[in-house]
Amino acid sequence: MTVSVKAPTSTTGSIQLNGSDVLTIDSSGNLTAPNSLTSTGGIYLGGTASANLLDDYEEGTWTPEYHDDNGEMGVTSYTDQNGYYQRVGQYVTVWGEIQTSNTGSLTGTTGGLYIGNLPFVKASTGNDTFGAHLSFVRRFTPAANTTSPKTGLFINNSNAMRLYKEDLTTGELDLGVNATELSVQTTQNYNWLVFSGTYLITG
Amino acid sequence: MTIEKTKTIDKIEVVSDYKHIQVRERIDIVEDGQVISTTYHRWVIAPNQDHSNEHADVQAMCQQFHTQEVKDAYATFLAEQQALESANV
Repeated sequence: MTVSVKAPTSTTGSIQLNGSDVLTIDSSGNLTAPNSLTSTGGIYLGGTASANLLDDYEEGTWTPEYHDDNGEMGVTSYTDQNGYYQRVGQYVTVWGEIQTSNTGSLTGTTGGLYIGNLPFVKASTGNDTFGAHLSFVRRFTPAANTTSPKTGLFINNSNAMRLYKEDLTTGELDLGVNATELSVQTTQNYNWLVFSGTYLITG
Repeated sequence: MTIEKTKTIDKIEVVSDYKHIQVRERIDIVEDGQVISTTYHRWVIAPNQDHSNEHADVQAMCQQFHTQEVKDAYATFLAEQQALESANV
């Protein structure tokens, strides 16, 4: 292996490995690499303040699931549990789809309904500061004078999204969905949500 | 030509006030010994979650950090969150 430093012109220079450029720098300090740049400490973009530092990027998958206040749910199988994420710095955007194929009896479920198993824990940022969008909702069993889930909120210090619905009496979108409002079914394509949202994470 | 898929737990982090365990699994597609594709899959284990089916390293982390004190604190936090929601309705 031969590593060499070249300055082929008065305005550019390069580091070469076995005769090929692996890093080029021009007189303005712009760096170019033919394939990729790697920086474990991050990259400052548009300035040198801490607010300009991009220190992490990642994309991948996760497995959404329904659960109740206790982090439990008797759902025995799902038709779809497709979750995706993209992390840019301290923010994560998640999106995906979930639907049940067999809920079981849901015996013992208590309290609210959540989409759990998010890929990162949400930072503590005060209440109700990061919301989720539900773009497709089908076949829940809402209580009287309420709707199926209409929106979601990411919960502080948690990896769960709380689902909310509309109070048809008041017209306000502030009622938590109960876990018992999942449709108890043994066939597929029930309790179907398509969702997306962005939240701030810890660390 | 041999193509195989390998899965490795490559990152285990302890985050938040309640010691959530964040796990990242690296999934490599390997052709003749060369990694040709990498993706990630993630999940989180909260203090009140069962971790008996996790990888041994993840279980060890859960056992170390999810002490009864942490579990109690998290349970209190969850109860406070639910009370807050009830108060808002």
